Amino acid sequence: MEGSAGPSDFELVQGSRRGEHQAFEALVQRYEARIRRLAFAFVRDESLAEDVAQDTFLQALRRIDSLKQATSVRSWLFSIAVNRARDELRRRARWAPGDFGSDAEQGPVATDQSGEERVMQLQLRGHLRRVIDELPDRYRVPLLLKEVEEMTYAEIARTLGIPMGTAQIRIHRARLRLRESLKKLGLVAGKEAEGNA
Amino acid sequence: MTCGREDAWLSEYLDGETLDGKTADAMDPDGHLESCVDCGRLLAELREVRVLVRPPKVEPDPFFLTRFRARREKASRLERESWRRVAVRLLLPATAAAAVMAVVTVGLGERERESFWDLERHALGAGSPRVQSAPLASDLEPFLAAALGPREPVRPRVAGEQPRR
Repeated sequence: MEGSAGPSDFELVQGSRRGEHQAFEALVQRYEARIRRLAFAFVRDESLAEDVAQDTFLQALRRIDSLKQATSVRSWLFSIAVNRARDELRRRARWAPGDFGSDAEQGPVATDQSGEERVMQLQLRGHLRRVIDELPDRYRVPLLLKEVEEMTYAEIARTLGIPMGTAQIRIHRARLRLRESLKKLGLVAGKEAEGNA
Repeated sequence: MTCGREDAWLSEYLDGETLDGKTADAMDPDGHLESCVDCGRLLAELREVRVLVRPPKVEPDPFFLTRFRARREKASRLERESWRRVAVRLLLPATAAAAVMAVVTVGLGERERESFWDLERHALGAGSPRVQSAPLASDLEPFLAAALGPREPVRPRVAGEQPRR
């Protein structure tokens, strides 16, 4: 996290390259929650998201020497996480094609909810996962980086290695497609304009 | 201005981000949204989509690092084992091949030596054991003959006869 107190991301990377375990572990602690959240947005399963996050850090540790630019530690970690999450989705699709039902739907659910609300939330997640899974990768990945990580277009472009305008267009198209799917499911009401910004 | 469905400016607006300053300065999105009902509705729907897509916030897990350490250890152990397995897989056949080569080479050498003796025996016309046609004796034969004269033919010894002095 650039700008926060303590060593910068790149200083931690340099420490890791010197074999300092604490430096890499500080990086893990700094990013684990965000990586898990990003992974969860893809796989919609808490334990799978944990696996993806663990693998992301293991892979980052192995490839720590390949990181060149000081400013891109975050993008670098997220690109590894996105690739791992995609691998996980492909693997899951291969082993259980079409089986994206709500049985496997696990994730943080607010504890103050009633049983009915919890079931509804899990069902909603199941629907969401299906419609997000239906998006082509080229739309899904930039959209999730935007919505989950709240990355700027420039950061998304850097993470995915695409032009910034392309990132923006893909995000917009992904939103339009999701809107159509969610409308069909009755999850987007299509209300009148509620004011701006 | 084109409407938000065709142009991505509406997403820019939603994200509060502009690519080149065009949207905010020249396009006047607020003015357009006030007058265009379709774009206003689309913007509201995209906001709903955003709320649905965003996963819940995840709190840092104090045990994640512990689990990561365990996983790292396991991964490096597996890596070491796989290297060992690769080494064994490569070294074992290599050692076996070397052993076979050694046996074959020794065997061939032995055979070659034997065939050398056989050839020599054949050349000297001797069917006797190897010691009688030893190369040293056969090599000396012409010199001995030149120095001492022709050798008497060996007469078979009669039973009971004393050796000549």
